[in-house]
This record gives sequence, structure tokens and C-alpha cells, in this order.
Amino acid sequence: MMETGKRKLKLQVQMSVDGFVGRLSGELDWMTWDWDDKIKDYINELTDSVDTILMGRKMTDGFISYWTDVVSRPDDPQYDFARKMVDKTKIVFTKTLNKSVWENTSLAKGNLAEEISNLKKRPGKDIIVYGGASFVSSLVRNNLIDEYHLFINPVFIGNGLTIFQNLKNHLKLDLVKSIAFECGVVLNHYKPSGKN
Amino acid sequence: MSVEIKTGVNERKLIFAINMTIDGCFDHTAMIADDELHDFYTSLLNNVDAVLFGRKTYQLMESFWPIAYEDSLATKSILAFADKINNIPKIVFSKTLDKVNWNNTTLIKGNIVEEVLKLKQQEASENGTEEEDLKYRPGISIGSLSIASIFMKLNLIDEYWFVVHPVILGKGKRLFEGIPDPFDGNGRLNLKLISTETFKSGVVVLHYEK
Repeated sequence: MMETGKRKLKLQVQMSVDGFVGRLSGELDWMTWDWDDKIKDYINELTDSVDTILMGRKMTDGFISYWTDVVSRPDDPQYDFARKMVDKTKIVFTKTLNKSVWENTSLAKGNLAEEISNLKKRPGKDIIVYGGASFVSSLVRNNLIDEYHLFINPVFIGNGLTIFQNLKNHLKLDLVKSIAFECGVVLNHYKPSGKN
Repeated sequence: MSVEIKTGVNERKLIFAINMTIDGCFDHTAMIADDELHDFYTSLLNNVDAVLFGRKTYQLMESFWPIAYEDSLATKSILAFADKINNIPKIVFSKTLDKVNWNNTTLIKGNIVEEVLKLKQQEASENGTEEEDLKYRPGISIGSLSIASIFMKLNLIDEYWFVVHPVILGKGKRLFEGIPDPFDGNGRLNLKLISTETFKSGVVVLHYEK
């Protein structure tokens, strides 16, 4: 059981109806991009509830260079969000790297469950993870995620990447909330059964 | 939840309603089959005048629903669904079955796409006598994954009801398993969200049209 007051680990991810988070190539061309104000508000609120982003090694370069690039263009519509991504603490889980080459970024090299448990004990806002597929799979597999915020896009893509690889057992969740946004995306917020 | 199949075209709608998991897998043993779920499907079938099955789903359903009444634990909702599914016209597509025994069931051995298109164009039977019922042209409901995948690939399904159960399976049957390019170069099948509904069990019903 979770102790109350601890930092929560939140997953925010865009999915197709058929449960994929990207094409096999990682492409997100199938996503709904014309978000309405309510979905933007939801995501902003979620973003502001966290001060730390967890990342798998594979996605780190792409993630950091993308948002750093946006921050260099103050006119970019994504600027405000990009600023948050750049300013928040990032923790990269890696067995191979010895030193972080990115700003506001540190490395976690120990056992996944122990590292996450230690992070949750530290003071601070909540913690978020956006991907990638295999890193999130290992968090799901170890039941380390406290809140699932799954954004279901109105599309089938047939095959692609999943964040539910190599589960040992099936995982029962409790629905906290479901919101249908005008842009056609549905947010399903779950927590693992039995967790606070 | 009450279900209304929307109309507006001159042919019967092809609809697909299915239980699935959060991760897009299909395994009927992982589902929460409570009263709310049975009521939903009964309501859905009230708007439908035929259900289409492939052989496997037909055999699974046929082995269970005709004798559902013998289960002393069966609730009112389960029995109402049993009445519905046992009495509604059913069509089974199979090249290997020789005969079908379930009440009100027809076996078709011909080309499934041609046969379904014919069914769609048939004049809908107007079950309802009240004016309100006549506003809704009944649909044809697909009851099998194998049939659904054929018609999704052709984008011939008019309405979808994905009944998402709050469980992650991690593995299991998917609609387009092992098909590298299910949407013929388009890479996707876009849907339009109509509405959603949640059940006490944590099920979320996602209602889309093409």
C-alpha cells in the first residue's frame, strides 16, 4: 500500500484506440493535434503538479533537443510548455551512461524499483513519465505507476509500440475519471487497484 | 445506459460492439460481466435486427446462452440478455459448419463481404410500432473479431462501441495481429467520437462512428 503524502508517479501518454503509443518507428503522425482548451487545461494542470520527469535512455536525446530547440524560439506556440519541460528536473534511467550531458538532468543507475521508491520519499511535487515504450513497460511491470492518464485518440493504427510489454500478470486498474474532450480525445484516468 | 443507433442513410448500419482491455486486447475471460454490462448489450441488440458471427464466436455463444436459464445464479439482467440473444436473428458465416442448431440462426457459406453488403441494403424490418422506434433504422451487429477485422479494413463499419474494461493484459488477441498493413497504405482508420459512458465497474464505453 502507498503511504499518503508521498510523491506520486504519474504516467501521461497518448494512445490509439487499439492501445498503441507510437508506430513501430516511433512516429506519432496518427495523433490528434488540434486540441481544444479543456484538454490543454487538463495537461497544463497535470504538468504543473510535477517537478520531475523520468526518462528512459533511448528517448532522452530526442526529448531534450526537441524542447530546447522550441525554447530558443519565444514566438513558438509551444514555448510555455517547452519552458516547463526544460526547467523541470529530469532523471534518466541508464545502465550504460556515466555522466549526464544535459542540463537539469541526472542519472539513475540502480535498481529501478529502489530508485523510484527513493525518489518518492524525497520532498517535492509529483513525478511524471511520458515514455518511451520499453521504459514505461518496466515501470508498469513493476507496478510503480500511481496514476495512469491515458489519452485515447480516435484512431486505429493496427500495430505499433506498446507500454505494456512483457507483463508477468495482468494488471487490474480502478477508473478514477473519464473525460471526453471536444477534439475527440478521451482521457481515462486510472490507478492500480488497491493503491491510494 | 440506453443505446440508440443513429440513422440518416437508406441502408442498415453495420455496427461493431466489443469488450476490450485498456491495451487493446480481446479476451472474454478478463472482462467484468456484471448486470450493467449485460444491460448495455441488451439495449444495443434492441436496436439491431441481426447479429453476425464467425464460426468460433458462434460456437462459444451457442454453447452458453441457450442453457443460461439453468444457472440458478443468473441475474435478471443476464436472463434478459439470454432472451435477446437467443431470439434475435443470427447469421453465421462458415465454410466448415454443416448445420446450426441455435434458435433463429442462418448459416451462410458464401462470400462474406458480398453477403453483408446485400444484408445492409435490405429493407430494414420495422420492429417497433411506436413512432419513436421508427426513427431508428435497425442495424446489423458484428459479433466476431474475425468479421470485424474484415470490415474495418474496408472501412464499412458505420458505428463502433468499444467497451473498455479496466485491466491491462499485456498479451492477447488483437484485431490486426500479424497484419503489417491493415489499412492498405493509409496507415490508420480514423474514427469520430460520438459519446462516452462509464459503468460502476470502471468500464468506459467509447462510441465512435466512421
